[in-house]
Amino acid sequence: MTQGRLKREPNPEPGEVAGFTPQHDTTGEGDFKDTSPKNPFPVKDKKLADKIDKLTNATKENKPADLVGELEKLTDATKNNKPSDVQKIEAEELAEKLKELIDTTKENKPAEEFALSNIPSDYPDEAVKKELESMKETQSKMRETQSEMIEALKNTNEGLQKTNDFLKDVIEDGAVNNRLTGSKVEYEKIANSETVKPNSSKTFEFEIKDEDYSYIGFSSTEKKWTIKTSNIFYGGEDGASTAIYPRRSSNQDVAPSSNAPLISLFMGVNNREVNSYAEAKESSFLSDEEKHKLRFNNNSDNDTTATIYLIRKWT
Amino acid sequence: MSKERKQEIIDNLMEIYENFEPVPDMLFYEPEMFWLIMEYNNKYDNEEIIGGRWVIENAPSPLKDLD
Repeated sequence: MTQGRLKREPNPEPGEVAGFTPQHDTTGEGDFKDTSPKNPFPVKDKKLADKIDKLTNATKENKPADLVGELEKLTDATKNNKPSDVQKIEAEELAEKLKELIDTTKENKPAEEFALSNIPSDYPDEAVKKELESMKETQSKMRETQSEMIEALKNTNEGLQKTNDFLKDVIEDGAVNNRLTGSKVEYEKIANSETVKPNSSKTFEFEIKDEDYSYIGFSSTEKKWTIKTSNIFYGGEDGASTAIYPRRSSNQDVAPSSNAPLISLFMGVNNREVNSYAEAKESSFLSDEEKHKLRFNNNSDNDTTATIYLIRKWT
Repeated sequence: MSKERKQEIIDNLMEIYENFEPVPDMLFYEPEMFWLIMEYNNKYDNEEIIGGRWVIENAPSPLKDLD
């Protein structure tokens, strides 16, 4: 057989010119061979193949690797179908379902809305049916994955929003705002509701840690009480020192509750020339892990209950 | 301090606790240790000079748990 020439009937009617047999070029190089069930005419449903390619690309954007794999298998299976099989698949109906799937995937609708759930039970092409069912199952997984991704993105977005709000406070007009706006405060009870008899005193100990400032809060159920403290030069208990501002060395005419204590700044030194909190802070000489004593005097005629707080502040 | 005296003090404290009434002027809207000892000092002689630390170390809950 000469390449590029069509084959003719092997048994023409006598006296008639032999006709051409049903044949087609199988390689694209002119090797015409008879068309038969064993050598079917190659047919490709281009419309369907294009839609599947489109679906594959759309799904790849969503990154569920298993679904992409399923779709690629479906694509190959459909492309390789023989003509007789393709005709049985009712290509238009399948194309319509796939189009719906593409649109739904793009819109991230729930898997339940896919028309794939309406696959007929007597679907003629078992292989494609299995592929579609497999795809449906994979899409359910994709939905779960997408829900998780959406939730993670939501959390990330909230975190970014908080960070953004924080940065708004830190950055002004493109420049870093170096104002210190944060601080940390802790407190503990030096004396916890201790009873002090009339005209007597009790001494309590407290320890400086590494705070920037130490404040002391006083509460007493009776008026006429005084406070004396040690200082960095003097550790005695006889009340010779008053290293706090405001000073409480004379009788206090108030009886503050433990829920609203009177406050003084502990300076660590007995500086009588301090007249404001600003000056007191300038006169604050605290050493880390230094122990001090505080004496509470009850100068009233009744028992008093005293709670004394040490309030630590880091700026 | 005898066991009997200790129990007597605890009973007295418990009675005070169970009859709590808010003291808005001092911002006490629930029982607190400062309020408990204040009331005890007002009501009893407090010869043993008990305070919050004694309550924490000797009294049962809910007394020892007061803030």
